[in-house]
Amino acid sequence: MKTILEVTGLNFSFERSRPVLQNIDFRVSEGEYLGIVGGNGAGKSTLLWCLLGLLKAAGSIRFFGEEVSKKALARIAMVFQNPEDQLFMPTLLDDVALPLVNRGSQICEAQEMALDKLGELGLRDFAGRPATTLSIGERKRAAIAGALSASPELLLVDEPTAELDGRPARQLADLLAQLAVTAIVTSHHLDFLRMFTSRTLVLSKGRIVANGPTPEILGNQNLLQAADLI
Amino acid sequence: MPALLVLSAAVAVAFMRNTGWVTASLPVGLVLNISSRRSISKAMRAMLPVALFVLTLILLQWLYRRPEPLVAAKTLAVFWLTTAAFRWVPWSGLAGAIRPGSRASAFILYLLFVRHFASILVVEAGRLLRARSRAVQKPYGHWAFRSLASALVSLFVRAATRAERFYSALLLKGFVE
Repeated sequence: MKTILEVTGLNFSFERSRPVLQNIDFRVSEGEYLGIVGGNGAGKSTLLWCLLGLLKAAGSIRFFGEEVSKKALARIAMVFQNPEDQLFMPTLLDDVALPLVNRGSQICEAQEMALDKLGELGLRDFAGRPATTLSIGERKRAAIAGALSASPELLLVDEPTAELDGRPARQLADLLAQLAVTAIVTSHHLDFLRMFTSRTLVLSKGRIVANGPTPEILGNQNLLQAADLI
Repeated sequence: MPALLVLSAAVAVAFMRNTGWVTASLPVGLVLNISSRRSISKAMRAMLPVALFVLTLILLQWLYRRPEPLVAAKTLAVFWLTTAAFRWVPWSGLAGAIRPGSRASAFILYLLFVRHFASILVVEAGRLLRARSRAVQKPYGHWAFRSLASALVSLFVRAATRAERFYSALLLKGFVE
């Protein structure tokens, strides 16, 4: 399968004495669902920000063979841990249509596509409502709709189960499993990742301590214990 | 349209140098601000933070023996006018007026961003101050002031973090430099 993303020798620190990410190497192939697990402070979210190029890290991040730049952001989408940060328009429809309008689509066309995307995620009836009136689970789905509206080639999802309990988390996993995209999903919710990822990386104290098929990694109790995940 | 007029008035007041005009803008701003809200008591409560800010400003000017009453008056008038204008903006219809690449669109998006960020700040400030009021027993004294100062510093840090994320979201939505 074609490699979409290749990360080699990635290092990042906010302060020199305290590295957040150290010697990170991994690849993501087209159509793959990669899970990144790690305890609090393991560096999962920081890794995603580095992949977007919004945090300057040492090492190489190649997206379709080219170094990640701000222009590459048009091909990558991200769903933030807190959906409030990316849903800021007066209605959900505007929020989902905005990336399309920004990239040159006509308003009517963008709104039609946004409505379709909201429909796919079961939010068509909420199109005219502001994000603030939705539940946290609906807001997460709306953020996913907004991220997917411009048909990105890579989707990054940061802690999608944060603030969600059992049922909405399961619904979100089902939804993510149905999307036809390449995705990297960070979480410390192991059962959630087990439902739809094919491969999992384990991050501990900023290093990758394991990388392999999800059932194998998440079935290794000693490994999960050492990474403070159970 | 009334929102745009009031907003333009606020911008004009910010650049005014004539004491008479700034003084005249105070009662106008106050009346408009009160009329934009549902009740006078709500309007008064909302004015408390800015009133405290202006009082602190006057105190500092007095301490440094550089009284600039015009700055304090402008702060109040601009606050009253802009908050009234923001209440009258037809937000739900605004996004439909966006035309890619036009100057008006840039202005509309700017207004939407300011409104979103202001609402985040208000929510964050509310949470922080509620948490502080639960933790502090006495409304005065060393710990009361120290905790208030820490809460305000923390609010700035949170605001900066949220602003960074918001900026990232804008980049991801296609606002590439």
